[in-house]
Amino acid sequence: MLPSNNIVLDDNVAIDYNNMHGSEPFVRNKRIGGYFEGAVSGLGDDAVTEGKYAAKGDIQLDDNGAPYQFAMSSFLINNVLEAVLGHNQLSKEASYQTIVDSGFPIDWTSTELEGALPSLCDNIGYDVPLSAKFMNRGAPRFIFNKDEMSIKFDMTLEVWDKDLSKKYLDLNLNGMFIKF
Amino acid sequence: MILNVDWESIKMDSADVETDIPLDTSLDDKVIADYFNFMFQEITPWVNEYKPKSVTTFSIPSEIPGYMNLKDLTLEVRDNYLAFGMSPKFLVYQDDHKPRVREALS
Repeated sequence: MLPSNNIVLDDNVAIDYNNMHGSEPFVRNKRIGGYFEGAVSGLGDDAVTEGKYAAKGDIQLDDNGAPYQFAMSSFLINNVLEAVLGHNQLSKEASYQTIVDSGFPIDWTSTELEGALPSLCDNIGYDVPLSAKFMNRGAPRFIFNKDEMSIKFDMTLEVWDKDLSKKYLDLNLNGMFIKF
Repeated sequence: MILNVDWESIKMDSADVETDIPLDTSLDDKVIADYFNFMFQEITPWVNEYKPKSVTTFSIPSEIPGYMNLKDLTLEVRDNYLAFGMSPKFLVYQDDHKPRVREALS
């Protein structure tokens, strides 16, 4: 699911599952079930521990659902993402031709970006086709609940020439918030 | 298997630029943020229609070679957690490398 990457995990980071206090594994309705509390250890000060991004799940298994079920709370997802992406970057390229072929609604050229970056055309010319690279800065934060599914993250959009041989600039896009 | 995710909206708080190009010194970071927030209004319908890979479309493996085939995969957002459900077939290989399939509970 991830773009090519060179993610390196800290040797101290591990995911732990412990049987939830007061809940023993059970056999019911031809199924083996159990409630376990997940946590990511070894994150130190980077651990996501507070607020809506660390909400734990009030998880209920469905006895008549799929044979194998697994559930994750915002708390666990965000801590796993912190372990994987907190100090690693994923990068994805989008060449000018790829952008055009995708039917992207914005004309990805210097003239179009001049609206955000005055004098860009004075420096690199008008109607210059551009390519792009996207990369995360830090780990994203998810929220999952019955009222909202969203992600918030910081990213850098690198603006390159058409052939991805010369980088013109970095755009740091902060507090990107996608609501699903 | 393919997982499609629709975007309802996208916006950002702020933006800034780093460059060696001598851009206009009066460059206002708010102009950049406003420009992209306006652009996002056009991008949202596009991502839902075009479904670019790794943006709104994700490939989920339907097989863990040699170990498991996955079918009837479900993904749900419930009260305050994300729930996965699936019906796996466990593949048990013997010396002749022909898989012996064992069904999961059903």
